[in-house]
Amino acid sequence: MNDDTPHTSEPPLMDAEHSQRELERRIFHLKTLYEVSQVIGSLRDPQQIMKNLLLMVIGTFGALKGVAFLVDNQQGRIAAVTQRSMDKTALAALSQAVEAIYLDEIRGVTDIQQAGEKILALLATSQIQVWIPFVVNEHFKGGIGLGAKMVGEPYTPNDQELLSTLANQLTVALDNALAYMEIHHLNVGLEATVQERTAELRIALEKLTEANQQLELHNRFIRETFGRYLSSAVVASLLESPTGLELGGEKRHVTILMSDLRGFTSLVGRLAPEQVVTIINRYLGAMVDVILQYEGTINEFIGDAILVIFGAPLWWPDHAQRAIACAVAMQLAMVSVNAQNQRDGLPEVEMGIGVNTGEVVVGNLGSHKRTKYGIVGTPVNLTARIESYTIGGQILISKTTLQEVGPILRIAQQMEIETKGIDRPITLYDVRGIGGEHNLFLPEGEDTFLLLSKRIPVKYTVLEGKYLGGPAFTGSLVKLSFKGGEIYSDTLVPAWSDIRLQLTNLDGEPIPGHLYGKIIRQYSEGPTGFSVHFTSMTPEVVAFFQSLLVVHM
Amino acid sequence: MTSLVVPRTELSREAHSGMFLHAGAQCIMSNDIEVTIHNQGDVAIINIKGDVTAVTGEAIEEAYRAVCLAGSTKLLLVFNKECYINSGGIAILVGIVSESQGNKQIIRITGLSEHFRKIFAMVGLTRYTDIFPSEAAALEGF
Repeated sequence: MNDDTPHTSEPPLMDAEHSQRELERRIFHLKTLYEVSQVIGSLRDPQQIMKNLLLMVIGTFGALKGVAFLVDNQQGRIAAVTQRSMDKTALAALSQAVEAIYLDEIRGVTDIQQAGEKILALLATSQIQVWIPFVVNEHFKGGIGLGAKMVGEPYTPNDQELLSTLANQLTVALDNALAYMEIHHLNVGLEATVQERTAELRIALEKLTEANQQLELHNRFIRETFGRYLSSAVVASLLESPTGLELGGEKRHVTILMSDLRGFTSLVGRLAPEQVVTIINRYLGAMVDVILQYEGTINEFIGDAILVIFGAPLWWPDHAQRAIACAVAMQLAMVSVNAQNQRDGLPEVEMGIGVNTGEVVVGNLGSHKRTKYGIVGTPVNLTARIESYTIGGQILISKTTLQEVGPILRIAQQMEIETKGIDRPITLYDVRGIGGEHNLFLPEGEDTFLLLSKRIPVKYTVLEGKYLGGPAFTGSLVKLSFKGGEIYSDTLVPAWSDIRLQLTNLDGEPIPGHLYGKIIRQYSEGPTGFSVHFTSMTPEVVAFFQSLLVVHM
Repeated sequence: MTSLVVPRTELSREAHSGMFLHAGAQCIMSNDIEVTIHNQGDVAIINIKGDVTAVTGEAIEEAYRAVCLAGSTKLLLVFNKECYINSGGIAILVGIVSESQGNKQIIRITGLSEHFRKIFAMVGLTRYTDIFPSEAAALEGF
């Protein structure tokens, strides 16, 4: 059976048969070349490429064994090795030797020719008969070794040429695969970098979103806290520089304005609810417009009263001037409010304004559930006191405000008052206008009193706060205008007291209706008595006064 | 008679997606090989159907190892007439035949086309195996 051609029984070989066999061998080799390019060209793993090529080479030559190495120059080690039918011990020794020889070559000890000769010498002991070195690129090189042919023939030059061609195909496939791996690794690295950057961006975006949410909450807080009570320009300014706004509480030198409708409480009882709402909304609407125009911070509405701060939360160096100008403008705006009231058949209303300057604490006041930007301090209470001394159409200011604003103020009169909580009398100034850049003044015009031909008997009671209290005193109304009167009375009632008057006719019968007023001047010499500014009167009283005034005009 | 079927569907797609030329010069793609083993008397018969390549040849190697474990010393490789064997597949067979020499086994082959009989002779496989025209002829006197 050990015969190359067991079914050929006609020796000797003829030239034609030899040629035929050689032709078939060439065809087989060509097919191998084609298949090698197809198979290893489609692979991406250098180890798989070498394994497939080695098997196909072994099959092509019918070699009994074979080995292939790939050495990594940069790493100084064997990158891949594949073998067929090699002894393991011999293979390990061969691997070490190949690595050493290639490294020697790399270090310049030997050249590739010398390396090949050394390897071949080593391979002789491993029964490797042919060795084809190859260079993949500047980083990788290797070699293919084959054992004896099964047919027992030596490797011919044609075989060596075919082997070199196959090795060339191997280098191309390996070069492509290594480049693919490098690109793949770069892509993996790039992908990892992209993922890392994406994660960083995601975190940054989350932080940005959180910061935006915080900013939005902060802005919403500012809008909700100040939006209704500050001009939109001031709110915008707060939003633009939120760090400039300290809401945690701080001492501030500010000017406080408090306004109130005089006699409005007694008026409420005589009007329908919708009329009250119409009057108060009209009044507040007009006042808010004016206050926002002067950049005041409306801190609170207390019924018909308004508490306004100038100089907080945003600081205005001219806070006192702004407050006075605002107060004058508010009084001037009442003309329009009353014109509309008159048009609607509603009673006219009068407003008093108190202004004070001092150091207060401003900030968020309240509990966790409900906080409010607020103001506390003695100057606030004093402002309320000052306001309580006003009559309709009047602006009273403290000395501190006067000093803050300076000589541009027009003062009609000044008065000393004693008030609760303050040991010594304080001086209030009746402001009629402000010059300078504001140049705003209240219209002049003294109330004209008519001397009544017959005195009108009156009974009056001093009000404590808004309630009746104390005994009833008697007196006589001797002079009268639509806004006030002069009353002779034996009782000395302090100036700035609020009183309720009951008029009687000449027969001593009470005249229906109510009349309220504030004592604005006390006469202690001559006939004792006082001047009163009427703050509220019922229609019956209005009709009675009209009848008296018509008679005397 | 025992039978072992070794489908090669688990082979990596990349590893055996090459193009192969059949003896009939048809160009087809081959993904599987089917190798079955059965015994007839003391002869282990390995039937091979499909393309024999460096990758699919591993199925034949597995079948050979199974036969060795069973202690068979007489092996008959029966190739389907449609079989295509490339140089990688020949390397597998060279390895098996070479190993069989150390194992004191006798291998006979049948089912090869004339083309592959010449190839087998060319690479030297016929120095260690006999090729028969039919399975019956191969079994006769084995």
